[in-house]
Amino acid sequence: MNLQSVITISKNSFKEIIRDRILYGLLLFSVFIIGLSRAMGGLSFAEQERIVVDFGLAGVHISVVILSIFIGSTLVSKELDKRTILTLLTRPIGRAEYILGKFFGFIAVIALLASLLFLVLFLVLSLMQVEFNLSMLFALHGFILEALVLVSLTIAFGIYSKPTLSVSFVLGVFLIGHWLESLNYFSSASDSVAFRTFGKMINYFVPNLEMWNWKAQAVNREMVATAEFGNANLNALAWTGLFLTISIILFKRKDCA
Amino acid sequence: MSAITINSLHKSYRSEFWLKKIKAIEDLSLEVESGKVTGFLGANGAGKSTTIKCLLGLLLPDSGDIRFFGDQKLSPEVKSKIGFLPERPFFYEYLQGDEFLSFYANLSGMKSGKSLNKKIEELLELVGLSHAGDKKLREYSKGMLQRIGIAQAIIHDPDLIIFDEPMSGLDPDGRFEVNQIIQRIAEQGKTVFFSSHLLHDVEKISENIIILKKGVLKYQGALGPLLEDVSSKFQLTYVESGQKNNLLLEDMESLQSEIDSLRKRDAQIIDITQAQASLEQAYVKLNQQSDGAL
Repeated sequence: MNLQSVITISKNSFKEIIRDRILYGLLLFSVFIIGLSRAMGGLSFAEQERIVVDFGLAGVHISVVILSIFIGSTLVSKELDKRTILTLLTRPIGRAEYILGKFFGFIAVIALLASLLFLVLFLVLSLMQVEFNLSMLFALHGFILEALVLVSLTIAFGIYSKPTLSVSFVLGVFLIGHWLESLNYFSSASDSVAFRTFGKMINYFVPNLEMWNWKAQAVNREMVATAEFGNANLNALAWTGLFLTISIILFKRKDCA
Repeated sequence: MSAITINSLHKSYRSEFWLKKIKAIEDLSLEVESGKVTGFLGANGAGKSTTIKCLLGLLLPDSGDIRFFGDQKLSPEVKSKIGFLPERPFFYEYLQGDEFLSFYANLSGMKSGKSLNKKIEELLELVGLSHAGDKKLREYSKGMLQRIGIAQAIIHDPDLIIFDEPMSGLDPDGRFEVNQIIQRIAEQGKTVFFSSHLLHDVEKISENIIILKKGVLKYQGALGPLLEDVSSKFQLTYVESGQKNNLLLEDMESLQSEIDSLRKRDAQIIDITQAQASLEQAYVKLNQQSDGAL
């Protein structure tokens, strides 16, 4: 594994997305949502801060998810379609380095976007003279952990399927992943053996995305317990590692015509 | 030493997942001589691009053995000695010309800095793009993209340069310029292996020729013997009884017997010329022969 090649591809991947106009459209949309949270907060006298934090963080979350899934689905497929990959893979780099480079470059963009939006939310709260809430940083960290998993999964799907299909798959995983706890509850209470088995099995294939959702803690100004935080980080890294390994194995078997 | 050696290469593919596999390359064995310009000929769909992509590890062959520079398999070390320009190249349009070259140089292990910047300047000049180094690639014309593509292929000073249809889609001026660049690269003693279906251009710059038809090798070797094989007509000029005559003879045998006959008759042979065949004629004849054989 040549780390320098990974860094070079990451830098180019970062540059590619940063210079894409779609990103700025998304950024404007997100700033609008966060601005709207200020107006929403005005609807309530007592819960103004909680509403602004909840609505604002939801805006950051939606933007990170949209960016992860929609741009992520074209990350590799665009290079295959436009055949820019042909000159890239004939350089002294391995396919694993290529996948890792694209992944890290994209994650850097997501982290930058999330931090910028977080800063906007922070400014909105400062204007409202709301004291800084440290637990909001946990929520931001959770969004990035979720993005790691979603992007690695999107890359894995994107190697053999078209972007629209990848988006559909990952959106499906996103919805199931956020409802997994409810699904587990209902399946365990069900009389159907098949549904109970399905409820147990799905935990092995779909990550529990609620594990990284610390918005409620941010709204209630609660800190995340160290054990929970550590466990969530390890889980995110494990799922990301698994999906990246699958992506690399699939990509190594892929004909780049 | 051979720059490329292919033994019994097979490659088939499915155009759609549920369709039957199509054989693109069948038992292909060939060698590309080091330090020479080798033209890789064949009609569209003959398997030229497939062969090149198998060589470079972009396509995974069904079976067969590919070696570089003697006995080395494709590895990052071998790749660092190879430059490649694909057919109808499409590059990162958001990059400037100089950024683009710097990116590929970095990927080849070259460090950014003054010496790389100087190298980029030299290369931009070599390919006639000194004026466009600071322009985004989306502003480049097709010919300019082809030229910057050549520059990225040679920026790391490779020993073997592979071009897939480098003249395709270019106007006559563009083709002339690309021809010139290939010749300049060849003059530095590099091995150039390029595919094309533009016979005239191949004939001008190639020393060796490899011809592929429907994934099967039809000819490999020097250009000369291939043309000689087709150049069957000889024009014999002689003087007999004060009269100058011309004779057109179909092959070497009839020429020899005519010379013997003229000597016996004390005729004076003034000139023998062989009509020079073009690669196009040789290519057509070879295809007709192989069609007959099929």
